[in-house]
Amino acid sequence: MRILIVDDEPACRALLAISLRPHGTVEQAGDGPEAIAALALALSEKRSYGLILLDITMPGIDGQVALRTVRLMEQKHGLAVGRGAKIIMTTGHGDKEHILAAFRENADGYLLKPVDPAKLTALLASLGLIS
Amino acid sequence: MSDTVLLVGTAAGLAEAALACQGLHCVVERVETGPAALARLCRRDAETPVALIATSALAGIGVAGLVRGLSALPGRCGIPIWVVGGPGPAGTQPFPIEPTVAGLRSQPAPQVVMNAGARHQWPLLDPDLMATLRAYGADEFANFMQLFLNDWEARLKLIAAQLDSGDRDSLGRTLHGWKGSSGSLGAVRLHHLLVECDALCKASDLAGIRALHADLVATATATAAAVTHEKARV
Repeated sequence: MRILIVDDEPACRALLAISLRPHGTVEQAGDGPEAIAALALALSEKRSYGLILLDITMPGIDGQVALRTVRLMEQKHGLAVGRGAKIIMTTGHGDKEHILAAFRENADGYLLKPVDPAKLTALLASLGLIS
Repeated sequence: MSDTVLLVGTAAGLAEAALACQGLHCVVERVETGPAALARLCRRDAETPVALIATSALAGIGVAGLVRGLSALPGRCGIPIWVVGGPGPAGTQPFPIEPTVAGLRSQPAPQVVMNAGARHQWPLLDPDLMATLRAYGADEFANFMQLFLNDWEARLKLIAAQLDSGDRDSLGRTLHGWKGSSGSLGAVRLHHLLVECDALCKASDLAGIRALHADLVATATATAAAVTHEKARV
């Protein structure tokens, strides 16, 4: 499985990368534009990501906008809702507005930082990404 | 006004969903069938739900029918459908997603500033996370610890400058970023202090943050020493 971690904090990326390495090939992006560029390349090469972990508060394009953009790009490439990458928001925002906004934009999961590796693994299993 | 969540179906799992919604301070409405849900959504005199929570074994038209029906209703196609009790069709989300529900339920009340004694009950470093990270190997652990040492002083200077300038937005981004970073690194006491500062910043209480600044400096300095010690033990 190809995995993309998007977070402007190196420590957050590092923790997620360590946790996810057993489950696939991990790539990292430090902000929203970098993530969108990586996804555009992946879609054009027909090597889509199976999983994207997306922070919300980032410089440039924030995670909510990046999420919306990713889903639009997937639709343009013929990937209907539910057929694209599984996207898990990883963020310090635990308020209802952020959580509901993420699911309205078709996020697949939402984990609060600091991300507990055991909870991440359980969520991957519930999403059918690992057994 | 509270958001409205519409529960669709009769399965026992809906009770759990309802509880989660109450934790969200949502108004919870309940209908038993898909057609009843669609009829409810057609009512212009009622609050539009922010989400539907449906049982996977929905009688009548099933969840797939609910999805199709919803997509045909003007202005309603963006409402998410969460499914309980089993997998749902395309266009739905599983509910509860455990960490999500935990996140919703743990939504804190407006942050109360801890007293210093309570704050100092937290260890500087989370021993469980340290053990987990050590299991990934000595080099990996050292690299991880170095991430804190790379920028803690710069972050303190930035916070001091942003407090001086009163730039609340920039300060908020700095505090929020360090909050996540310190938590990921297992710097528990610093993380909780930054949670307090972040909440104060959101409440535009810069005076409150200034009152905590000396503690922030002391905690970050002590954390750096503890991280250096942990790294040397590799």
